[in-house]
Amino acid sequence: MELRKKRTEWLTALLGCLLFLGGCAGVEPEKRAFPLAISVDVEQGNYVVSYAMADLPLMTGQGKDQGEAGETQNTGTSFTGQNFREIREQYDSSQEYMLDLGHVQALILGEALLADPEKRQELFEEIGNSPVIGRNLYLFQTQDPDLVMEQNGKEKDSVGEFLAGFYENQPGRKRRKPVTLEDFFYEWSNQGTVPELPVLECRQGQIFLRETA
Amino acid sequence: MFSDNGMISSRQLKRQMVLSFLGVLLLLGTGEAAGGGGNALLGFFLGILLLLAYLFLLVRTAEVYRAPEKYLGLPGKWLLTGGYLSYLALSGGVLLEEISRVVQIYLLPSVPQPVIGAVFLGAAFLGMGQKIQKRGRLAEVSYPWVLGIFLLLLLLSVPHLHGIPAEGMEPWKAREVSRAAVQVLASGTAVSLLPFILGRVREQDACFRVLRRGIWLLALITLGTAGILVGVYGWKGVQQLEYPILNLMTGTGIPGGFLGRVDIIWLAVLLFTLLFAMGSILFYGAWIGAGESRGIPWRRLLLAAGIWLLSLIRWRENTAAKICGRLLRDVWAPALLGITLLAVWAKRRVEHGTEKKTN
Amino acid sequence: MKVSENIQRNETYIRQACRNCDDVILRSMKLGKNPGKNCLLVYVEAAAGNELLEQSLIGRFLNRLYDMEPKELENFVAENGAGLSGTGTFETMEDAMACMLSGNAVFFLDGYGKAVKIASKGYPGMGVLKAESEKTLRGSKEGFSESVKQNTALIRKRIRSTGLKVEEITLGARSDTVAALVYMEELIYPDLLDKIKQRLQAWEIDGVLDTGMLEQLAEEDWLSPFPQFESTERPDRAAMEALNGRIILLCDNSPMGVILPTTFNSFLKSTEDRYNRFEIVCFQRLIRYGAVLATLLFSGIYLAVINFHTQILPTNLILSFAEARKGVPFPSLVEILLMELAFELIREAGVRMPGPLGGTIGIVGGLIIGDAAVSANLVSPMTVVVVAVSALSSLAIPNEEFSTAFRLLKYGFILLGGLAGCFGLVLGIFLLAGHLAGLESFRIPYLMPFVGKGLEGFHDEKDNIFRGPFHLLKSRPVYARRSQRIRMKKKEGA
Repeated sequence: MELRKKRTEWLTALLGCLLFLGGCAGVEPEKRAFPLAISVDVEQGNYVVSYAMADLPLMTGQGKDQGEAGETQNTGTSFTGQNFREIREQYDSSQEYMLDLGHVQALILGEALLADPEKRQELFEEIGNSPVIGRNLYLFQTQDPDLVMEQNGKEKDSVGEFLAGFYENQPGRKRRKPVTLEDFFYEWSNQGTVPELPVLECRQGQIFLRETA
Repeated sequence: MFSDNGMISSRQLKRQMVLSFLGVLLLLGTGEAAGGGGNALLGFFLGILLLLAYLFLLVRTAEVYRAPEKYLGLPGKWLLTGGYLSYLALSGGVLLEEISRVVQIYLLPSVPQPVIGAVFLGAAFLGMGQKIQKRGRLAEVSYPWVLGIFLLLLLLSVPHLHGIPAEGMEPWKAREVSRAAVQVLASGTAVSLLPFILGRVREQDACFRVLRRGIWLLALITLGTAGILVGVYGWKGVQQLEYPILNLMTGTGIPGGFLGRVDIIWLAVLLFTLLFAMGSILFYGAWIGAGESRGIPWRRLLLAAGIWLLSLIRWRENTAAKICGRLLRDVWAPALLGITLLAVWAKRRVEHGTEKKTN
Repeated sequence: MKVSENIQRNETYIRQACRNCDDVILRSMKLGKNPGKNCLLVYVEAAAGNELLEQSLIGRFLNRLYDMEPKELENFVAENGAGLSGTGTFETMEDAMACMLSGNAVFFLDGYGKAVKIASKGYPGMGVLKAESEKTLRGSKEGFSESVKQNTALIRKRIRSTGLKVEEITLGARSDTVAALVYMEELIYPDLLDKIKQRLQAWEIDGVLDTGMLEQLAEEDWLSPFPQFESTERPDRAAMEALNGRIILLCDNSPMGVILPTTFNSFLKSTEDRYNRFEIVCFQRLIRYGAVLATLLFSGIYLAVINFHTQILPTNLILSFAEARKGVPFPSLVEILLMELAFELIREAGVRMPGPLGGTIGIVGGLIIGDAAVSANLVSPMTVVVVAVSALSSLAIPNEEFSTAFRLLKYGFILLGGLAGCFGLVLGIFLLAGHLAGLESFRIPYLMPFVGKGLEGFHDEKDNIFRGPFHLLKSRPVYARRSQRIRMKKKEGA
């Protein structure tokens, strides 16, 4: 009987511990920003990171807060910094929503970044250390990432979904196999080289996929 | 009726063993095996053979572990008890530190590791309990689910294979192979806890057979998973990852897009097996020398407190896992092997003594 | 006090004991030829049926005595010369009073030192009812009544064998309630019977009004939310389980029988599982097991996923959730808890409301909670869906008591999932699995037949999650004595 009482007390303490530790551990989905595409480039020795956020009313068709000031989700946000810690700090100090990288579908790399081995190394170490970013996201390269990211929320509901759709929505079409983050790490870790990434070109407000550079 | 006899079946014995080791092997062992290249994989296989030989000795000398005072005298009993309790405390500390780290990185980034560790330990303490039949039933009922989900998720990751790469593997070295084999034996000394409960197994003659099957199953799963890791990441790629098996699952989804990623499901099942492992450590800690005691489980409580404190150790950027892990490998593992040899000698001595008396 | 040969003393005792009991009738009379002998008839008015006394057993008995010689009266009564069935004699006033209070009439004769029981129709009751909470499409629709005698008869109707034993025990110091243990003597483990009797008689209680009280007193692990006895209101279910080697406990004034021992799996079996084909039964069982998991975990998983592990869901789904939750004033954890409690409120109200109003409550509740709350942005639509799925799942569990356990534990998982995500859920599942692994019902592991294979006495009856074809169900389950495990075999030459 005494043991049962003790057990109840321990269980209560366990739950209490959870309550204490979990007070604000979870963040609700409406308080998160979901970038579906990220572009990274280098300009004058600094990283330029752009997040193409999901436009919730547009993408979901629910339109709960269309036209309401202050409620509209960001559709594009850019940050510049010397390293990724600085970029994270800039984001945290300027944005109200938590950055959720778990749904990034496309990573667009600027050619300037790809040409700089040191910066490239730093970027992929940063991505490699993140437990949230999915290894099945698609990699692309482009000359001017800004041009591509500008399309987010304009012609395209979401650049990330659009780019993923090249491979997922047209399975019958003969294309080269996409390069995922997993594929990239495989070649980079084992052979020391960077795989050939599909190229994106922006012409007349449209994004075109060219298989190779 | 069924629970009056306080016995477990050989099936429950095997399942307990597999569940206790599976999570640890998948989380830590597969990365080591895959990262060490061909040498590590071959060494793993050879280590399993050594481990089976060790297990054979353990089963044969099980009575010594169950009644140490009779075979080793009082000093021997204290040596045995003290040795194993400290072994359990260190192992628990290592395991808890690793688990807390993993949970903090992958599941609850904003929660401090000591809190995660305390809650995890609390759940293992309460959930496992002290009754051998309860532990056996828990293992028996969860085994098919755990194994089934693990194998299913591993199968889902097979499309990510690039094939086993020919280049990048370390050249074959006998020294590396033997080092890996010894490493497996040292890590596997945890099987020396089994003799303490073998007396409660119904089919005594079948013990070694079922345990052998369990060890082979674990070996197969570990080697298979290591093979998948090498196939997905390559020899060098897998070395750069801390927990390659968790990385693997972040890139795996269920066909049709029903679930975006399965890493959380994988981690959930892994956590379950790790809870079982931790619960087993606490169970044995109380079982050794006390059995199925009633009343307040002071021994388990003290052991749990000790494990938690050990998991907090930090020394010059070295964590408990590194410090205690080294101690376990270099000091305790040989000591436990030595205890087994002592048990063999003690059993022979007592048997010869008994023969002389009857003659 | 011993029954006196002086009828006045007996009458004084009864009047003293039954003062202010206006429903107890004392009828004094003189029977036999002149000068006659003083007699006393005592009964409860509603039980013995005053207006039909002349046509009843009592009336005919009294009529026989009316014309008898006084000297012959005593012998006639002592030897049951009237050939009454269900009669008996009592030597103490206490026994006589207990018999009277059980709904019988008690007869006293001046000069005779015993009281005589004359059985009557007993207290008014509802008769054989329809099984309301265990509805089936196939099989008998009869349910237990509130009379233990009728209930044992309903089981006896289905098992016409002297091997079916009915042992009556009296419980409750003031209520003197008759309880019956019904079992097949050659099938049960004898020590099981002794154990249940021990547990029932371990308590001194003033009144036992329902089998639920006996259940709670006799349970071993009373802290566990899981019932260790299985309740049923169906006599066909009770008969089936008696043939499986289990014991049925019935109680007067209770339309619920209790079956013991029990296991997790047996709560998820319905009576008609034996009457239907095995394919549909397997499918239904899967649905029920799924319902158990959904009741327990669905809300918790929802909270864990949306608050902690959004990456697990497809992108469009999580974006839908995010958009739907915009403007909702409460955190998702509070939202779910409020909706779950609201549903429980509707459920309680529906149960308490009489007849047609009960159904209306469901519609009104659904409209108000579901539609209006969503329109007012108090809750998100997904929350309504999650709670509805969880609630429907709990209704799909065949046994009400068993589903209650999951309904209660669900709140624990909601807190765990909402506060600690997947980590909390896994801890909860481990704790629950550990608890179930340790739970026993009269020494039978609760998780049987999923555990115990390889242990002495284990037996696979081929009726676990999946039920085999009927011709393969040759064995009784583990409850039955080992020597009696075969229940069916094909006849030679057939």
